[in-house]
Amino acid sequence: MKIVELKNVCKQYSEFNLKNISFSIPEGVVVGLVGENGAGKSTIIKSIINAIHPDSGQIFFKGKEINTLSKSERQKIGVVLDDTGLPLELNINTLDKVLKNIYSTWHSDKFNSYVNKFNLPKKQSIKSFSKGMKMQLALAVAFSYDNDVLILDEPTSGLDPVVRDEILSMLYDYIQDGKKSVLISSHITSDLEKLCDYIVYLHKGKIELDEEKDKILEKYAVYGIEEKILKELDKNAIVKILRRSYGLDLLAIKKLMPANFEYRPVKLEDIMLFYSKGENI
Amino acid sequence: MNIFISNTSDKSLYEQIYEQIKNMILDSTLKEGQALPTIRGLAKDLRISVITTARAYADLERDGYIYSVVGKGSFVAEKNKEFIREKNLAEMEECISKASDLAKRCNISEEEFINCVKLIYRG
Amino acid sequence: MIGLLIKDLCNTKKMILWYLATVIICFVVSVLLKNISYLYAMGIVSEISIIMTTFAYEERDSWPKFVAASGLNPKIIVLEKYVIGVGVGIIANLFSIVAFALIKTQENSWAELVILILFQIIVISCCLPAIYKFGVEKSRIFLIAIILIAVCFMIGIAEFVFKKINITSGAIISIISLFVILLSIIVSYFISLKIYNKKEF
Repeated sequence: MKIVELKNVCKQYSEFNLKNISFSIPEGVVVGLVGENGAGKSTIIKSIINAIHPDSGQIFFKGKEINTLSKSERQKIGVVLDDTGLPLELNINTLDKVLKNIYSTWHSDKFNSYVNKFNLPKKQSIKSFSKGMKMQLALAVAFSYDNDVLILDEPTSGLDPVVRDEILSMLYDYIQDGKKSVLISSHITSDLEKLCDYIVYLHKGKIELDEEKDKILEKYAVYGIEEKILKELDKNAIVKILRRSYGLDLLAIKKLMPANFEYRPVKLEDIMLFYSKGENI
Repeated sequence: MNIFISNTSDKSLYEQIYEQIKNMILDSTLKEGQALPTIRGLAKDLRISVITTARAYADLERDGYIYSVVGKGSFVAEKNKEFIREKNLAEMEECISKASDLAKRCNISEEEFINCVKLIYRG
Repeated sequence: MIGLLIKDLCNTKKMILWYLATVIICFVVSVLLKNISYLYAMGIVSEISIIMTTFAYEERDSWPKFVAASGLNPKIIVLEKYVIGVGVGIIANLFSIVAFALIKTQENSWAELVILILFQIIVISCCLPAIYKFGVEKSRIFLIAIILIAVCFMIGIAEFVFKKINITSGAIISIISLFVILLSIIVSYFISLKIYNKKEF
């Protein structure tokens, strides 16, 4: 079952276009939205969470068009924003009161147990928190009301490895029952490489790849070759070429390349680099 | 049970999990009927994706090492001695065929090759 | 709605107390000098500042994005700002009414006060759609202009118009004013709502 589905979503800005975005988040999986800064990750997320209105296309949540959702249905979409969106002047106790009146399924006990787990001070205003603490708080908020999918916009950027790992651990807990899904956008590809089942790679407002992560990592490889060999290769094998002063690097489809060529396994980071800097054949 | 994942290994993650669990079953570190960790629990522990783990489990099940009960999880299958022997035999044949290829390439005679095998077998 | 109110009031708690203290001082000064204009001007300034501050904090905190994602009805989100605006206005006006009663002479009538309150409400009705449309930063100049006009209005109109009001015309003016107050708030609310629905965060 598809929890969230985007169909041909377009959004035009003066200097940037989101073109025909279609992908879906199946039940029980983690989908990673990868792309360099400005590729359109946030725009996609904002269109799912109702913060912007796409020019055309449709977005569905459990088969229902997203504009027609009631308040309680919309709250089934959990959201964690990169800048948290929480009122920074408040302290945690007041925040609890505010959110209790906003979310129809708010669990104060759950919220407080997360706050205690992270050792967050309850009487200090949120603006005095470090970036990591703010993100932990935003996750605690998203985990304290009943939702079926969690949408996270750059949750790990700017955080130290320990906090990042804690956040990943919470996300694993969230998907334990196999019914809930996660959409996570990030340019820190190592986090996504661990957690995600599917990868949607976005480049200049267009989806370049939408595949199971393991398949991407298996299908492609990076080859270092000499210029003159390039002509002898199967054109269909070559995805992108990155020319260096001394030789060139290829992002290629492994099974179409000669078997005796040396290669190294591809990483998501490579894919980003090849697409943004590399050239076509 | 202990599983270790290497990011620098040539083998993909699911192959590594498959191999390690298989070996633990073959050398009886994992006993018959013993419950394996849940797919999602193992994924969390190893910090890898759910699909990767699920694929390793699916392959283990396909090859008869484990079985799963809906709603209860996965368990080590009853050891089928014949089956395991066959598996090991196949693996052994593969190793020998590699060795004999190498021998042919270096012009090592059949006799020499067999002597070598005998020597190694007897330890 | 209650959640939003708690958020805005706690967000601006310090500011509200500060303005309350200032309004009380102005109240004393107005009564002593037998001139309500200080208090009145302060009322408008504090009302607009508090509303502006709630918006400024929201913009800084990316709250609009958060609240849009929470699925709250836009009608309620916009209405809450009007409740804050009118609420702060009522408190400020209570001081004005008491001060007015204390310094009331034969020459001035209650109609004066009603007209002043009318003007205050019209200021609020202009402010909110402007903030929704242009954001806090850009609408600041616009709002300073409104406050200046308000003060000039106070000084100018008080001198020329109020002296000509008698009891009967006062009653009629009061009734018309109350009607206009209601109308301007309602019209302003729907304009704000329309602007809000088109907004992106």
